[in-house]
Amino acid sequence: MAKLDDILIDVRNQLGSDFIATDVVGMDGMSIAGSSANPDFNADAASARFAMVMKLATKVATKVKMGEVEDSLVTTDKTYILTRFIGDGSYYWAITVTPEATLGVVRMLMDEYADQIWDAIPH
Amino acid sequence: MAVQGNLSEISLTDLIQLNCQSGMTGRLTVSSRGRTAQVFFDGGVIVHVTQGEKSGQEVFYEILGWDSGVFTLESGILTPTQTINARCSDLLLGGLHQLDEKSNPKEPAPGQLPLPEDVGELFGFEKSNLPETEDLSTEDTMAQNMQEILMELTEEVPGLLAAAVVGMDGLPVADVARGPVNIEQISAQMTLLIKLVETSTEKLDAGTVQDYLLTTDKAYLLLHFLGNTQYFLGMSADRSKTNLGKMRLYNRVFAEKLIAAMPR
Amino acid sequence: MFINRKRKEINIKIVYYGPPLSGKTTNLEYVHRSTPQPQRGDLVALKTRGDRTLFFDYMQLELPPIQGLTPKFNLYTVPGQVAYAASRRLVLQGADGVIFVADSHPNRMQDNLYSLVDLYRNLKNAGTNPRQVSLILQFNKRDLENAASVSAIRQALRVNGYSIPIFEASALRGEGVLETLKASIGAVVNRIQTTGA
Repeated sequence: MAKLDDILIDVRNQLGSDFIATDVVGMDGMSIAGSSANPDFNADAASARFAMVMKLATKVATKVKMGEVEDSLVTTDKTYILTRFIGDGSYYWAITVTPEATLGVVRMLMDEYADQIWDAIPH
Repeated sequence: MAVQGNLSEISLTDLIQLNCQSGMTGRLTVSSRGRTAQVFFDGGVIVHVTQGEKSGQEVFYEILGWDSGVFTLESGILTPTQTINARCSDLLLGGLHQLDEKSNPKEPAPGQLPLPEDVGELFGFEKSNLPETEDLSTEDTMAQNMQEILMELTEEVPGLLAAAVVGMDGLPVADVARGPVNIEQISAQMTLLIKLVETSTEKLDAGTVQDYLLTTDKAYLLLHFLGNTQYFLGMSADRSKTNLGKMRLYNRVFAEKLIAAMPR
Repeated sequence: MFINRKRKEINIKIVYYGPPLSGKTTNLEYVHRSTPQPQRGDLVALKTRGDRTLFFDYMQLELPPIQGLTPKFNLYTVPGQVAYAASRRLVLQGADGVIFVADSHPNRMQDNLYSLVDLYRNLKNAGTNPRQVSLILQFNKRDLENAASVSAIRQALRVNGYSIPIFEASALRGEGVLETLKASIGAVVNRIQTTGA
């Protein structure tokens, strides 16, 4: 998954000091690539949990007839966690940044790289 | 002796109409935002209107739009000249017509804006079965104020589909919705979602959740915790009609208002 | 409300509001017909594209002066169509009392609700406090064979659980019209005398 890792490193560099973590996760909850600025950050747990959140979000959106989920954003007092579906929706890509990050920039980055990430995933 | 007043007590249209119908002869002077105009009546007929250098019918149409300011009515004063040659009713009609033409064409039809669940409290009516216990009435007031705040929200956010204040038990306390929407179902779903988000972030030590935004191809769904209360504000809006930045801003602003409306 | 101290008059504004064709105009026409000449002004109809905004003067001599001023009632109604939002707001500006005329026909329930919510919005936009307009509800067209029940209309209007003055009427037959107006006048006068507002 070298190409994927390269892309993620690129993104990480562009985010600079705002970067906390990033992950590409299958909807089975398993992460296929990722990195984090904090060695203590439990990436696996994060991946699995957010896969659940994305699944539930999709269910909810269908139930209330809101359309197809594209992305979600969690704001906490310590972080922003942006998650979006990649390609045909069998994977999602998450980026966690500090509250100082400019959301517009992060979203723009995700728009830019989403297709590349999908292409870099073997299928 | 002159009569003075403020346009907040009576609209210019009503004032002019009163003078026409009472057959007044005299001068009505109106000042609004630094501009001053004069309307001359002769036996209840408008004969001259002037503002600065301009006079005539166009000036009349323009001043009808003045909705704030002060006026002075002096009877007996004769007009220096005649620049208007139409009946009062025709002038007022023409004026209202112009105002309607000028007003925002995008103004939504009554059926297009979201509807509140409780209309009675909007007009300040008294509840017919007053509760005995103090607790109950505090909850009632809380729900009432929230309903009003949500109504305000619907005015501010373009493209709003629904908004509700929901408790962590999944039950809506106040809500507004456009069209037939199952508020109970949506509230329950939103609560499930936000609870899962909360547990997940907690376990990851990522901090306390403040809000959650879900973007679909058609809409935005924004869930915002109301301080450290057991409630959150949920808002959904049509993506093609709204601006995300604005929506988040209003979401924050109104969340604060709602928190203030809660009993301590 | 507008006080003309020179003429010692207090001008009170009452507006008839409601969905199109609910009978607002019929109400006014009946009031006009029933009021003896010296006590009423002309019924002035401004024709706007086939719809009508009615303004007229109405003076009731029987009422005692309010704070030394002779009360003069100005009754207005507004066209129901959306296109005239600006003039509707203008008519609601400075309204002291509002009579909401609801249509008892079972197919009009949604129109009734939309109009009532619209009233709230337009009052706010006109700078008039919806909690201070002495709102009276009239359920008109009670003469219809399939007229919705009073409780059904209350439900449709989402005002259940509140104490609200409701008058049943058949404006076409002249029933309930004057009672509604008297109630509106009474509520407004009472409010002015107790709060001075």
